[in-house]
Amino acid sequence: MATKRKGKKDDTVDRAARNATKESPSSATEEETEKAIVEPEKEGEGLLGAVMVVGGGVSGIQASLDLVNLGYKVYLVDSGPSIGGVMGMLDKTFPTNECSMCILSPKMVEVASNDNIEVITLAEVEGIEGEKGDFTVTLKVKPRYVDVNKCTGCGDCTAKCPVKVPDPYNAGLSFTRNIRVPFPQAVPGAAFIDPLTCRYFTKGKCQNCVKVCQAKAIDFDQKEHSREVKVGAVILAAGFSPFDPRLKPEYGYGVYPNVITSLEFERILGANGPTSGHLVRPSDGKEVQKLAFIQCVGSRDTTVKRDYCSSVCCMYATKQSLIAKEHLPTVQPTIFYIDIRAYGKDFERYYQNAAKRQGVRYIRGLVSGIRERQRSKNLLLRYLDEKGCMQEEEFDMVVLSIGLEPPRGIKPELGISLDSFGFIQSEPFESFQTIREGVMVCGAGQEPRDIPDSVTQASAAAGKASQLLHSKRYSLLTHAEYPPEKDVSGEPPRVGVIICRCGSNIGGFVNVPEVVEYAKTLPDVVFAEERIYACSQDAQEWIRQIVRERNLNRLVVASCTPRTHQPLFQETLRTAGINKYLFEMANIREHCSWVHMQEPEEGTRKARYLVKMAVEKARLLQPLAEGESEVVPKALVLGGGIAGMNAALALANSGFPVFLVEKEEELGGTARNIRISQHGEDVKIYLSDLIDKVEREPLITVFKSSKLVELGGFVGKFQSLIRDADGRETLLEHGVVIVATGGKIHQTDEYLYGNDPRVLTQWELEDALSNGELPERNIERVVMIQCVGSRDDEHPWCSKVCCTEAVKNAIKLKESFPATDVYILYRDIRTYGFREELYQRAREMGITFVRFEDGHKPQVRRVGEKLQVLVDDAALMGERIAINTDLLVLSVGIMPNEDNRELAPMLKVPLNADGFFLEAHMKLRPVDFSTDGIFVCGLAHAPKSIDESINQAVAAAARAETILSKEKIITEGIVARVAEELCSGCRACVQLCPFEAISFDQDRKVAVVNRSLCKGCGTCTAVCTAGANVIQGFRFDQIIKQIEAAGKAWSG
Amino acid sequence: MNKEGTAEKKDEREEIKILAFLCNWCSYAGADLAGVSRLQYPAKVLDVRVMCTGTVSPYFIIKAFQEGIDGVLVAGCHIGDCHYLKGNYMTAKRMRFLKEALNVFGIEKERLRLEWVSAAEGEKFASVIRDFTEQIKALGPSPLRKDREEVAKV
Amino acid sequence: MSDILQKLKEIADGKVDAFLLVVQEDGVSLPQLIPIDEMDQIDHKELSDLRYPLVKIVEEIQERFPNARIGLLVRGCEYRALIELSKYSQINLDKLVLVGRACERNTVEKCACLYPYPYGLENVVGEENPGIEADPKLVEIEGLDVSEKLRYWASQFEKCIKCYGCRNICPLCYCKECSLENPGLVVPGEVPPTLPAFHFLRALDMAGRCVECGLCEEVCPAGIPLRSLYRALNKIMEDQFGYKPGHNLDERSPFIFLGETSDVEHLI
Ligand code: SF4
Ligand code: SF4
Ligand code: FES
Repeated sequence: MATKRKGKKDDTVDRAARNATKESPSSATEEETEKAIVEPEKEGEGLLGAVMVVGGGVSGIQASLDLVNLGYKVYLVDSGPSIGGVMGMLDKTFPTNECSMCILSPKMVEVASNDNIEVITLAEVEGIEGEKGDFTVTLKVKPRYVDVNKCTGCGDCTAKCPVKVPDPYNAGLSFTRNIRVPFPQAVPGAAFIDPLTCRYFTKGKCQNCVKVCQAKAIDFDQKEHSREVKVGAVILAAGFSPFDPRLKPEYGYGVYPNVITSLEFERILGANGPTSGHLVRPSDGKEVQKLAFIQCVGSRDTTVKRDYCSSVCCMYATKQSLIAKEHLPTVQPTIFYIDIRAYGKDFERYYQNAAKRQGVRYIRGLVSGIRERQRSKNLLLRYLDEKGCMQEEEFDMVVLSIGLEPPRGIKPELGISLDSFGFIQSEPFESFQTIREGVMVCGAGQEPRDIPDSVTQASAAAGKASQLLHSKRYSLLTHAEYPPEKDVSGEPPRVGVIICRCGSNIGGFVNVPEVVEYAKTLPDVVFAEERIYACSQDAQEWIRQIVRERNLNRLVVASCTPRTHQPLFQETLRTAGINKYLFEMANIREHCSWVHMQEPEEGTRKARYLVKMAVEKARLLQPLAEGESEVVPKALVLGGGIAGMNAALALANSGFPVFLVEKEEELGGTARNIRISQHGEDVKIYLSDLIDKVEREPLITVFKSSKLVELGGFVGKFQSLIRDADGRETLLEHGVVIVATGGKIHQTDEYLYGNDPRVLTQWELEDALSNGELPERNIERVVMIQCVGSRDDEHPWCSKVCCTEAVKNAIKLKESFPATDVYILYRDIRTYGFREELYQRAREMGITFVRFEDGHKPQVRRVGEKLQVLVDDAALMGERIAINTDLLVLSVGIMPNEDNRELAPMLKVPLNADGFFLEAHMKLRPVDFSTDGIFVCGLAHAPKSIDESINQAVAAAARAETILSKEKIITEGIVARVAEELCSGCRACVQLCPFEAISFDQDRKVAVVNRSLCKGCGTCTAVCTAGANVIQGFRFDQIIKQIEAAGKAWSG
Repeated sequence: MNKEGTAEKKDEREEIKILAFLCNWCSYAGADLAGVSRLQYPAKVLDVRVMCTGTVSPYFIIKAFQEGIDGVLVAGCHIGDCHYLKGNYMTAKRMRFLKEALNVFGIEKERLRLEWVSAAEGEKFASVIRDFTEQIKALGPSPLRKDREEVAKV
Repeated sequence: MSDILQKLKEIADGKVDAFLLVVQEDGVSLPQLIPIDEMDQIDHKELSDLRYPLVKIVEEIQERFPNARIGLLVRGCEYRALIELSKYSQINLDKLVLVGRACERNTVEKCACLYPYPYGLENVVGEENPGIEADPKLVEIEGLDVSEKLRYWASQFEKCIKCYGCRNICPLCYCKECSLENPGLVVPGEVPPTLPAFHFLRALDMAGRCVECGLCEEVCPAGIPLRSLYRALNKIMEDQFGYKPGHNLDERSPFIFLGETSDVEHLI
């Protein structure tokens, strides 16, 4: 894990209090920002080391975390009361069915606890003045009416608020109160008041909340105000807004209660949703049996001017069907669709599994309308099937797979441009760069895209900002000044216990004085006292004082959950001169007072035991040191294709030397086969420019005809051996590795390819087309066959680019030879996102699309001089048609490189079942490997388009830069450690570490944990029967003591 | 409270105790959510936070029974969700084995329970605790406690 | 008996530096390490039939002389122990030249051994005797209901005098610090140790490692049926994970590798 240069503004430690928020009190901010930027700028250039991120969804969060790790001050602006975006509302994510909140919320907490990210909620961008490197952004900040620095998120106010409102977090499917914390994991975790529905604002009296709030956090005097923030760059991460299905009245949304949107359905599936995940329908709460999904509602639809494909709906409908079946196995989901666009990594497999094994029914057909049955409230769907027949079927509930719309609140006045739909326009090849320099874009606000693509683009945008501002790295970060750490190792434990009342949240149910008295009787406890809010600012000062006065060397706080509050108290302890690992928490709120409200005696008893367990553990705590290891600020990039070159250039632009290793004699990679991009730009020119830039860049050393033969070391300091074609070897030292080894184009021998000169691949056609090399003689007809070497048993993935490629070439053909007939034989046309426009154009131009079913591959034969293609036309119930053609074009797929098999073990990184590299996390770490310091991009990761490869490349470079920009890597204190004298060298732990953090020292015959790689899970320790391998902070003896305390608990 | 105190003493031998090992990232968070949602469950459970269930050694379970715990819950991320990728693979294997081993030892295997509880499953956490408490109540105090008393008597 | 020694000499010729044999001298069985240049001595040796913790000695020799090549005779259980230990890097099989010996019928019966033959070993001397399918003691224990089982074990372990003989003789025990001596787990000085600590802890560690040689049970002065206990746990390993300790060099105990989703799917 890379260093987190955390810092505090001298005394304001407590800002990080609640599960969030260093949101500055609105009035103080301007001066503060002013102060921050008045600092002298020596190398001048007028650059500012701060970036504003607009939009707090997953891409905004990722961009902020990357930026702060790259050394920039971040202002994260959200128009709502909390960050989290749509991802925070999702139940699960595809294609891994992972719990969405589980993976997002740690990132939100990270944002909250980082003092160099200022979260500004309820704010919108009014204007961006100035030039790249030095912008002044004007924000309009709406009042929250709650002081986030005082609010503890306890919820007392919500309980007393008289106004019931539909809960937006549950898509309006349940009710909440007007004053509330937006959702349990919200950041900032503070309440807010919606003035439109507040009784005080509408009726002039109430203020119940003011009366009950013990923290005195409510402030009705707050006013809307504008605020200016100076930053060097802006990243627009505005996200999307959901399509309003009322624009498609034929579906009866808003009229029929059992027609709901996919977002609403997501909440119904949510274990934390309005029905706790029970699959019941709104009209009568009845369990749903027959469930229909209607795809493309507000997508691929010219009638509502949404011509584009929303890119994610096919997959989320599939996911929702699977999850619905998980919740209620008897449910029968049916998905009505036009094409199933399972184009991403592992999507095809997910879809096939749903369709073939999980009983999700897919019907290709257009739903023309829905009627409701009066009594049962069931819904009758009328749809046109593929054969053109009208069908009707009854369902209990219908989910509309609504599309992604452009974000609201982003205006062209910001100096950017919007496309005809309202999405933010970006530069060719660099989708993260808007037309205004210094203003970047990421996420679904630029084009509909899924989470990993948004996260990737976010890192890329952050990286781009860093390329611009790198000379000002760290200039605006605040650093904490800590007093020297007191050495307490020899001292006997002196434990202080603080029991928090949390207003009435704990104090109202648990007999706090009794727990305090009990705590005093525990061994080594020299101090125990209660506090109304242990997390408040004044309490931190008080704790520091107590620690000093009473000479405490261990601290136990019994309050709320350590998951949000531990960092705060640890910080306080550290500022009191005590090692932060000498701290333990007892969770007597979430795990006690709140869940045992009806049995206060029992609750009190349990609180005592929890405190006892914490004290027992605290007595055994030892100070832990954070690890440090050196960083060699250079990078190794493997692969000199589009991805590798972009990654190398990005790093060089940020000032880091790069070794670029290419196995071929020339740079360029697979892209040498492509002439025109999907947007019509000349790839050849782009590529030669790129090669030129790379070769002229003094910071990049290119090794051609070379290969990596050995890799040693670890994050921060790798050593690699490179061998060229003549066997010459070079030893390199570098801090990171970026794998951009590309893929390859499928070599087919099907369909007479290689046997008949009239059979070409799509790439060969493209080449011929742009060189004007098409055979002289008249071409009356061209047939294209899709999915050659894709989506079959041997290659169970979609190659993602070939549909667009085919459609693009078909259009080009038609433009050059208007008289030529073009047929495209396909299974699904997967022109996702804006590529859909090409597909539409192709149809308008009269290109014929013929669909064949899985398992009915077309056949090609020679009939006399003619080439003939036989295909079972799915629209004609599989009737076989014969098409004579002059040219047959095969859309061959993209394959993984065979070298991957060799490279993967060398790098100690995994491959997926298909042979592509497998990233650390499919959703949130799309370009990282689980092995720290190694990153992936381009076709090595999965088939993708040029733009997407570039996105990934710049993202991988940015992620790598978060390491290279540090002098040292600081690692957590909670890591495994092997006591060498006890290690018998059995190597069981070596094999168990999910992060390859343990190696075996052949000389000493012991296992050695590399603390720079260890993530502190402890999996290795449980296998060590000798107890040689222990995890610091969760040591064996500590847990044993906790168990003993729990065992004895009930007896006194 | 004093009155309670005496009542406590009397029932002590019949009272059951449950110990839960919760992984920091999912199940501990799920328990937090149960709290935030004010879902009520019996107070017989004490929890130990671990970073990952992969760290829960079979020794801990045996130790818990030795200390007179009547039921042990191990709760972690769903398979595939583990914050450390595969830590819970080990948990799945170890706990399956342990349950069967308890059966060989003569300890009802229902006294050890493994659950996957995500950070969003506050409701599941609460219902697991309710259910497990009922189950352990039905089984009664651990035979190892009784056994010890018997041994002590001899 | 000397055919087996003959065989060993033949096979090991030129491939070993020494022979490790358990010989009988004056009615006493003891291990001897015979260097290759004194090989002729072997012809005069009388092999012992006694089961002896030979594997532990091999471990020790290899630790001190990692390059020494040793020839030895192994029974089925000893071969399994060597295989299993090699998975924990405690034995280097490459440096061993092994000749197997099939266990005699009476030994098989005494041990109630299921695999009395070094399967998979190329050179084995002696007739393969059929293994005993059911360990009568285990059958009896398995017939008990849950609470009776605990009572049964309690009555057995009550006899324990904590001599640590079971651990000391166990070929698979190699830890430098033993969990049985961890005061957090086993109360020091408490005799007999209270359940479940001592014996159940040890049993857990044996699962997936125990090669069922039964030396522990043979050596136990209190006559506690330890082998049956470990055997019962090994059965779980086999049923749940298809793993049998010591049977296949290429397989590892499920507890020492993470595995793929497919390895745990059946567990969730
Ligand atoms: S042609 Fe290519 S992109 Fe289109 S569906 Fe087939 S494999 Fe996917
Ligand atoms: S605790 Fe052990 S298994 Fe986990 S990351 Fe560290 S070394 Fe690897
Ligand atoms: S982190 Fe939850 S089980 Fe591993």
